[in-house]
Formats: sequence, structure tokens, C-alpha cells
Amino acid sequence: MDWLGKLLLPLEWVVAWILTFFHQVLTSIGMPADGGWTWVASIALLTVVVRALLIPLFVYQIKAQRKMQLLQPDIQRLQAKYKGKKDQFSRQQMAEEQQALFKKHGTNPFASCLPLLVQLPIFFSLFRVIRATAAIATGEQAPIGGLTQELAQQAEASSVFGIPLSATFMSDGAAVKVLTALLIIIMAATQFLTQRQMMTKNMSEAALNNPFMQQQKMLLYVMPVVFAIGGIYFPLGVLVYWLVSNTWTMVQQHVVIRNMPAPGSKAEKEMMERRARRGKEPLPGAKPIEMAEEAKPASGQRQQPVSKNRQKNKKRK
Amino acid sequence: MRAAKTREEDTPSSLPAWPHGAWARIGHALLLAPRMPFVWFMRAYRLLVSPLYGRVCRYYPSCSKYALDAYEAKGAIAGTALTAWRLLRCNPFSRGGVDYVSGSVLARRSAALHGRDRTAGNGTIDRVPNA
Repeated sequence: MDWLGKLLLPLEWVVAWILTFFHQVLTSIGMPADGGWTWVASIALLTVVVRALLIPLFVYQIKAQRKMQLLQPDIQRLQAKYKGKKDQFSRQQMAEEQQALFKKHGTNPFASCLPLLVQLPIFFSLFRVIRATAAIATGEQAPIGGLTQELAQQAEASSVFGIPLSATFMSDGAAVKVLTALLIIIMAATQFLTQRQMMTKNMSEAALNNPFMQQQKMLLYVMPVVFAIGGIYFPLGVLVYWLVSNTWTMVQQHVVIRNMPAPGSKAEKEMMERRARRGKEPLPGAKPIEMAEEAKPASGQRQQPVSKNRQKNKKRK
Repeated sequence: MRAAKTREEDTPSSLPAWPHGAWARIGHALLLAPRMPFVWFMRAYRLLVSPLYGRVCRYYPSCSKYALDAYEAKGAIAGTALTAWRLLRCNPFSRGGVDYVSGSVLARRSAALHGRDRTAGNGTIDRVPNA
């Protein structure tokens, strides 16, 4: 797997520099240079930097999702057109027409797999930097970025609750197992809660009736398990990164759902109620985007012509 | 067939058909040998990994199906190149769209749908053995 090392080297270098930069800053404000908590805080700050850099991507995606509401009527029409047509030719044609719709409106509800994967190289780099610390401390390996032999020695000597940052759940010692297990459980829980909040609060009726929904619901339970199994091999330092990152996601999503809920979702209803209580118009911004204008012409019945006299009568009623 | 849930984009294999005659078959097997590990890997990936993250791809068919088709229809080297290029194109800033591997079942079906291939409608594309 050495090609992976070569590929990640630039990123490891950046990760090491950011870590040591924060370590320097924290020691200069009086935290001990060889303290475990100093390194934990440095890793937490590294996570904050990474997540802050990813905010624009997140905003871009939110905007794309909001644009989707404009073509919701078209999508529904398409679904009606292919209702009950289960043969593969029809399914393929429907998929093609759906793509054409996205293209026409210049939007796409799917984020691609990049946002799922974008943090993975950073995880691996941090993983490798932490693993390399021992070798750098003894001088077997050349320093990575700002992580000099001296700093590596300090990092090696440091511990939180007596546990070194490079320890994993698989390491010996009861304390190690308890602490890492605790972190893994918290992470799986944050993962689950974030996902569930998205599903229960921020999905419109239409999105909840989507055929993919069943699969997504299964994921809600599978993903935390997958993460928990992966977590037992991760050193404490990487677990810290992960914990902070998940917490960030949870808070970020909470803020977004509260302030820019998806149209037609439960969160939107709640926001309207909050605004009504404070005596504001139901939606912020001058032009709330209208939906479901389509419903009217569905009725096949013609409006009966009514004489002027009767029209007045009707009004009176 | 077992009741494994199939995705809309799942199709029969896009591997080239077996020729007649013993020597031709041996040649064909040798020709296909290099791509098979990739094809098996992609099939396993689509069985085990894809369902974990649901539908996220901006394209139709998704990147994993595209990769499978590319390895089946084009072989190990061209398949890898096509897959790499698709993965690079599939990012939040691309527009997505319909994108088939030429020569794959999906591409032939699409051609049939749009009337570019008259012979396709009567089952010559998808003779799926019902097993």
C-alpha cells in the first residue's frame, strides 16, 4: 500500500503543519507542550479548519436542493406518466427523462459521492501521521511537515487519562478500551441522530414517498454499525477528529433545518409557527416559492356557466 | 431468480457474447480473462457497498454501474480509463445527465428506445435467460 502513502504525502504534510501550528499556538497561551489535552485540542482545531473549508460545498448543495422544489410538479407528472410501468425499457426511459428535467432546470438533487468521500483522505492522512509519530520520535522516519523529531517525542510522551493518542480499541488495557468504546458509541449516536433529524424533520411529503426512502431508512441503522466496526481500529487521535466532525455536522444541520427548512417539511411548518407567534409573515424573504399550483386543472369537470343573478346568490351564501 | 432487490439500472451482463467453435471460445476466454477480476470486483461492490449510501450519483447510470459496464464491454484497460474519467466528472459542480458506456446493454436499449436500432425492440438486446 505504499502508493497510497505517496499519494497522501502532500495531505499528510498539510495535516502535520496545521496540527503543529495549533500546538504551537496552544503552548504559547500556556498549555503544556507535552500534554495530551494540548494535542487533543490541536486535532479538534484541525477538524474545525477542515469543516469550515467545506462550508461552501455544503451551501452549494443546500441551494441545489431548494431549486429542486421548482421542478417538483414536473417530477410528479413524470411519475404519473410511468406509474405501473415496471418493465426495464420504461424505467430506463423514465430515468432519461428525469435527467433531462434536471438538465433543463440546471439543477440536480444528487450530490455525487464526493461530499461523502471528501473527508476520507484527511482521515487517512491524520491516521498515518499519528501512526508515524513513534517512528519520527525515534528518528527512524523523516519528519512530516512541521512535525519535527522534538515535537513527535512530546506527542509520544503525551496522554489523556494515561492513554496515548496512538492507542486504539485493540490496544491492551482496560482504560483504553473504555475510553475508545465510549467515543465510538458517541460517534455512532451522533451519526444516527443527524441522519434521523434529516429524515423526520427536513423532508417534504413528496420526498418521503420516494421509492428510495425505504433504502435510506435502512441506512439509518446500518451506517452507525459500519462506523462503529471501523472505529475499533482507529487511534484515539482519529476518534477525536471524527467526534468533533460529527458534532459539527449535527449542529450545522440543526441550524440549517431551523432557518432554511426544506419546503413542505415538518421543520418548515415549525418555522412558520414560530414566526406566526412572533407576528411575522410565514416565510422570510419577499417571495415565498409557490408549490402545488398544479392541483386545480386535475378536476375533469367544467365550471358551469352561471347567470349574473345566480352568481350574486352564490356569493351571499 | 432469487428475490434480491434489483435497481432500475441493473441489466444483464454487457460482456461480449461467446462465439461458436472450440478455438474461438478459447480465444474469447483468453480475451476476457484480464477484465474478469475487475468485473467481479464491481459486481461485489454493487452488491455490498453501493446499498450502504443510497442514491447519490448525479449521472444515470450511476458511477458503479458505469464502471461495471465499462469493464464488461471494453475490458480492463479501457474500462479503468473510462471509470476514472467518469469519477472525475461526477462531482457536485458537474451537471450530471445520461451517460452510457457505448456498447453496453443500457446504451443499446437507449438506442432502441429512440428508434436508432430497429432490431432491438423484439428481444434481441435482452435475451435474458429466466434463471
